Amino acid sequence: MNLKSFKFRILKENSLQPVRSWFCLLFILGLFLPACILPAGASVIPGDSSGDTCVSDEELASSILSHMEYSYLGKERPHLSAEELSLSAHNFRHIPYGRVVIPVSSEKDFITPNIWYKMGVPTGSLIYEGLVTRNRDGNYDSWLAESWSSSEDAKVWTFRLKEAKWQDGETVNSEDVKFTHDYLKDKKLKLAFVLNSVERVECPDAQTAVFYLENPDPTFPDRLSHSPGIAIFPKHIWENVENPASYDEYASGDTHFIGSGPFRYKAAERGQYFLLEASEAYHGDSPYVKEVALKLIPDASSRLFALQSGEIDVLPEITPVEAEKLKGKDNIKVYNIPDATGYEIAFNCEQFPANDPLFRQALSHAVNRENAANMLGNAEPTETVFLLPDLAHDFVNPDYIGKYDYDLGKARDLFKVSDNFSVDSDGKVRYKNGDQIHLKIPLGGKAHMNRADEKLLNVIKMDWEEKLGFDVELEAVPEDIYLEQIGESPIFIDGMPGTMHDDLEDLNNFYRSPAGSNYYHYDSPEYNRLMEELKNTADRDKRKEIGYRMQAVLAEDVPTIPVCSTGTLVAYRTDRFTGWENVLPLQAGILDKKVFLNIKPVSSQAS
Amino acid sequence: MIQNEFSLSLCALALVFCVLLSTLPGQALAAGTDSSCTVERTLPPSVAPGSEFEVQLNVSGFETGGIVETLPQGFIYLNSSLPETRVRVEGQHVIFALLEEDKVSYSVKAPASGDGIFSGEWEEVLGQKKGKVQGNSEVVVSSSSYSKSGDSTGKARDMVSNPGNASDQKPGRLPFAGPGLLGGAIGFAAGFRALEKSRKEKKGGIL
Repeated sequence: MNLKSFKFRILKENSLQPVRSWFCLLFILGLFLPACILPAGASVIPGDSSGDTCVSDEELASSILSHMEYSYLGKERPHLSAEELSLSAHNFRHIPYGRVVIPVSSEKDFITPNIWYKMGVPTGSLIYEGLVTRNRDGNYDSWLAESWSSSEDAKVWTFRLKEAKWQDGETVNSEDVKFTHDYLKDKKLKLAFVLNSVERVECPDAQTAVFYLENPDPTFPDRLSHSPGIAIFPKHIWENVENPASYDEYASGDTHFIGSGPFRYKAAERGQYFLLEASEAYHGDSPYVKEVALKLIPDASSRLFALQSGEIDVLPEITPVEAEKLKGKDNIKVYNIPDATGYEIAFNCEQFPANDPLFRQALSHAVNRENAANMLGNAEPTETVFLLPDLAHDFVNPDYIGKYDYDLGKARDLFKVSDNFSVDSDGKVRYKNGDQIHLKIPLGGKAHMNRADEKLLNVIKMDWEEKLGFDVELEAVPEDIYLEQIGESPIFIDGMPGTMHDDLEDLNNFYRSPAGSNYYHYDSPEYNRLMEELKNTADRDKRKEIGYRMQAVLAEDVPTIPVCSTGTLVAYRTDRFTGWENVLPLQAGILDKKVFLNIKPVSSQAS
Repeated sequence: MIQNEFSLSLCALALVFCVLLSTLPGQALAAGTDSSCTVERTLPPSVAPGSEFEVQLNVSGFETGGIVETLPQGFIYLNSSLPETRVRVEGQHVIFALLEEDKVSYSVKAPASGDGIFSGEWEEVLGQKKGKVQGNSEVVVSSSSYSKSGDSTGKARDMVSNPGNASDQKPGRLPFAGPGLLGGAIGFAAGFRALEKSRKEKKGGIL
């Protein structure tokens, strides 16, 4: 029964009591209307009637007045409880509130067990900061650097630092920048490779750090910003640590986890949790969340249950199957961070039959990217020759988007013109000598996570076997010999982070330097020359032009077939924090400063 | 007989104790009180009949919360230093919403005659603390009053903050006080409350 007929029925049956009927109707409307207006689990900050996630002075004043009327003058109960009013006031004053709990599957995710060796901290830590950070728009945001510039030849990079404090109150200065460079290299730490091209760092004054490079590097800020990037460390703490690999981070957490980021170390318990709190010393805007707790929950199904029970507030990197399980659950929403991983069918261009460009071009027409993406669940087909448009933006050469559409007829035509293949009257492709084409594809590496490689190849294999007559064998390979195996295989599947498809610099993957080969055993003199030119060009427009020409070469030579890019699925509780989806991190995962500077508590339960 | 008298004395003592407990300052027992947060009122001690005068509330220890001021009968609230959207008036009650203020002042019109006691309570909403407005509370309406804004000290008499001078306290301030056990208990409790307040003042908690 719809509301209209219900209303009519009430009026008809009680025509002698219209007042009572109207009262009933109003009562029912009063019960159900709020539920209609506010969807279940809506992320509404108490007292934020406009829904802009910022409590205004008018909104807070109104809430306070209603609360005081209720508490002291016996007026009707206000919309907000005392706890909700407190949360509302925290939002208004931009004072951190509440604790967000995030599960981690391994203790190594608490904070890198050895922060010097692992993934470079700037994007992976809430405690430490680098000089600059890259955003999804392809631009840079400043962290510790207020501004930066390069010499005309891109060999000297000058960074002007912000006025910032370390979390123990000491001032951040250029000596810390120089120390970070020197320490990484002196101690021969893994991250030193990021600064390989740096000859020295000088500090003309306390706020200025100058990097002198051995070679021109127009993308030096990119190098510093992510994948893995470099965090700046406090000299006054680390100059006393002789062996950074062996210090006990739990025992020395209070002193060693001193960064300049928005959160500071608070407490940790081995095997249990790692707790951070908002740093009052932070030079930027305060976070809205007071504490971030990383809780160790190794089992995937336990993590899923913990989200549903409210033990945790957000669950990053769930599988599409898990996302499906969470569909329709109260107060839970799933969103996608796109382009976290790019999948491609890669060739070893020195191995037969992949050493035949026509073979590679033909197969590029024989990949149904749409179906493959659907098979992975949260993926988008990739129509470019390598770079991902949403991350690389105008660096993608538009002339080659969709060049290799899914068309088995075009694939057969290319096979026909090759000296190595023939095509039967029934459309089956054979070697010239009549033998069936047998392809053995190793499964492993990063693409094997969640068996994505297998899912993709099963879609592709169907076409290649049924329609082109190939015999495709998929073979799972142990991790320790995977790299060796793909070196011997003409065709393999690869999964690379989206950040390896986001800049012209990533075209370096196909460059064959005088020193050695590349992943694809691809060697194009023209391409190599363009890459050298790109490396020595600082002007953006000129770089773009060179990049376009390089993509033209790749489109012709097809050393790889980009198939699709998958996102990272994240589930979160809508009744605790809002704003998760507003900032999409550049890299997979949500442990990102920008995300945690943006989320806001919506419930006093978040405290 | 002696036993009966002893029992009676014990009962009386217990009653005194109970009454004493029940009349302890509310904020000392309620959860969320905090002596680091205070609101202190400044009033002129006497005002001319029908005159306008200013009441000042100095807030210390917090900036975001609410204050309910209750004006004596006959006194009329006129306006305040806060925008109108942050003030509500209900009869003799005036509610102020503080967002980031450390003081609020408001204007009041005095009646033609009489005197009165201002009272007030506050709540700090971030940490959910609450308490009573301290400082001056009494204003006398007198035709001999020559100052609109109070005497040269700017301080009015505070009935509670002078516990040692019983002669200052008018019987009307303790409406239940009277002869007998209960009256004595209430009187004792009032004295205790005043003593407690005096102790806090000496610690610098209020002034």
